[in-house]
Amino acid sequence: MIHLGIKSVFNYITGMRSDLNRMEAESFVDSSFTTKIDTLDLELTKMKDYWVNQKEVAVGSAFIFYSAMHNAKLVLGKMKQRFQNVDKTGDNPTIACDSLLVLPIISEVYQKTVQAAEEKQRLNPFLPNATLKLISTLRTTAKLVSLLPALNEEVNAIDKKQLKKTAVELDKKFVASNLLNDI
Amino acid sequence: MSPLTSSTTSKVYLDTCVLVSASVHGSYKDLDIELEHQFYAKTVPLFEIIRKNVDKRVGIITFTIETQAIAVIANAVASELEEKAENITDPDLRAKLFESHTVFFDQCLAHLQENLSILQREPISQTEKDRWYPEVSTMYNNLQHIAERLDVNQLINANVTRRYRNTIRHEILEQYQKRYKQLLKLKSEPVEESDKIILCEAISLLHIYQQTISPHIRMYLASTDYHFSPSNSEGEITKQIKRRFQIICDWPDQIAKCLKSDGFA
Repeated sequence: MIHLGIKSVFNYITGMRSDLNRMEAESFVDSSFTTKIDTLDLELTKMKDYWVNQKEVAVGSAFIFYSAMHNAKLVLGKMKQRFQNVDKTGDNPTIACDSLLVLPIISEVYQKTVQAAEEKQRLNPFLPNATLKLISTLRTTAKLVSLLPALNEEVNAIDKKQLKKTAVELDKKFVASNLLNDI
Repeated sequence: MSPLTSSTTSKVYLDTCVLVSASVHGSYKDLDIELEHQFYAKTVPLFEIIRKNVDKRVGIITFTIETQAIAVIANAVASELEEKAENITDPDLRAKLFESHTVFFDQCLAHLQENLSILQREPISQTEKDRWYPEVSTMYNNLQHIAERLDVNQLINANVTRRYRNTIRHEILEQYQKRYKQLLKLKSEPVEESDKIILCEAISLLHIYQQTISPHIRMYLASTDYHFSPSNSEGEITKQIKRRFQIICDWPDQIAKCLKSDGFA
């Protein structure tokens, strides 16, 4: 697996978009594109892990950037699945067109997350909210083009014991407090 | 209120808290867990009507509401995570915590997006909002002034004869506290700027609709916030908003009832 530097990630995404444009123009989907998805996914995983252990930024903000990477990875996961099954599903060249719609948003989400990682304690106070809007845009767009996994698929992939514990605690919070006071 | 025909004459502007309450719920069948915001059930009948009448554009939001809603949900989940993650240094445990909170956040976000898809987002210019701000601000300032001078014990002393004062004080105190609950709450928690802006937006929308749809349009503001909606009994703030600006503020389930009587199935 190739490891990219942060700056190279943007170039890599640009390259992926060129590949997708070519696939769309030729109406031929190259299933080896999954290797490139894996490479990008690895970079997003590194950035996701970075926010889990980041201590210089408040957990609340770190959570937003973590969540941005989590959602970008979810979309990439679905993209890979569709590329892998392209021969069985006849998803050709639709998957290339659909991926072209979400990749620029993934690039922007990554850019915001990198910016936050660079700024740390000098974090632009508008950056977390701008990232939240982008997460929402990414999810809406991905859902429209069937690149967002169903919620149960997302739940299936995680630790059930921890999820149950978190759900119980959040339930207490949602019953007990006025959320608007927390903003 | 006289019955209206639903196609032209009623709009509901949804406050952030209603959109949040309607979106914060989750169900994990294999874990046997159902969780929901304390006011979720109150939003269900309103969203049912909005969904059934989506072509009539009855449910209205603005950019302000949409942006606030996403931030409120994220902050609620993040603040819970913050409490838990504070003293955990083990990377694996922290990762599990972040992951479980993100899954729940994603679920709320998905519900929020479903809800947003049936609401009409209206543009309002800053000039239009600014036009109403002084009047809205004056109203809340006056109410705040009344609230600060409100002394329930003094009211009892002034209105109940000395002979009965001690024997019925407790009962009367409860009655007054119920009657003035909205003002008493205003005393302890003054109105926020964001609430004033929301009311300015509702008034602006009413005036736009009066000019473009019908001069007899009925405008509701669905909110669980006592700075707009009644708190048990009808409050002074709700009355003033209706009298000054012709905006009917109430809880989402009550607005659903109003819409039914306006002819919405």
